[in-house]
Amino acid sequence: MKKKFVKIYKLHNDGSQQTLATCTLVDTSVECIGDEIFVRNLLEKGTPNYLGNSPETLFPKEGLLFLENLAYVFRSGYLNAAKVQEG
Amino acid sequence: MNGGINKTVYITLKDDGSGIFKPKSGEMSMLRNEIEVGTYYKRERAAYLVDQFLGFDLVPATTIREFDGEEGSLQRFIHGAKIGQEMSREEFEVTAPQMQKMWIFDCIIANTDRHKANFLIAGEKIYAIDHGLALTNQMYSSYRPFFDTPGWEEVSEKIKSFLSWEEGVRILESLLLELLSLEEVSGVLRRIKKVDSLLREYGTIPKTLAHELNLKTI
Repeated sequence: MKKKFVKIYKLHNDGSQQTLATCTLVDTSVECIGDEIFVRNLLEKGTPNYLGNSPETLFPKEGLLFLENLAYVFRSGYLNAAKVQEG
Repeated sequence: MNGGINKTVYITLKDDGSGIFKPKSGEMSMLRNEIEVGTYYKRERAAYLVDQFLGFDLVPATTIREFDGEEGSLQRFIHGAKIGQEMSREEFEVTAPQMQKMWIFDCIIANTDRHKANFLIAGEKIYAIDHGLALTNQMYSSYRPFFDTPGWEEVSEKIKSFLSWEEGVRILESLLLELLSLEEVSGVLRRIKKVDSLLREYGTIPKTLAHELNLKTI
């Protein structure tokens, strides 16, 4: 069965990008794997919500909304999250 | 580059390091109702100018350039940096005084978009990035506030020094007017003066007076 996921890329000194973490929608919640500190901060502290006013912070339990919001949070170039993919 | 809803391009400059280019045409609309899309790149440059004139040294050098016919902001790439989201608890503790300085900088530039994904750490130095959603005159919520905390001596001295340099104030105002509206520029200068007066009078930023800096404290 296909699952929705988002890849978060880190930019390196030579301009190349490497996947830092991957977040996947599993049932109604999101699970992330990758860099330990990054993933822990993401899961424990959540992310600011760019897709609505409430709640102010999104956590993995918000499911698809949390996943879709990642591309708005990580957009600096140093870390970029892709849009939601399915595969 | 892969990912990101705003277009970002990694650029290598001949004999001059590398940078992150954010073209005007790649700006995502509706991130903030009160901030017009197509102006984010100018706000990146404006934030850098404020940082430089205040002597805070938080923002990597940022200019406006044209590449392949597209205008945008170009900011020096910080080699070997991690973003806040990658920082351990210990690293946060070491950088607390710089976080405090970044917070007051955000108050001055009315930054509506500071979180762990838009500051960097390289060695033990903090860099503030992503100021496309700053310099609004609307009320906004702040992250991890430093209201009523001590330790403002360095910031206070830098602000006093800037305000006593009348020509510098005029030059900054003139440079900002090339990038922002008159109302937005007036707002920045008003907040610099307000921070100065609060630090002189109270030695801190009182939470009860947050509204004077456009900050919501909910």
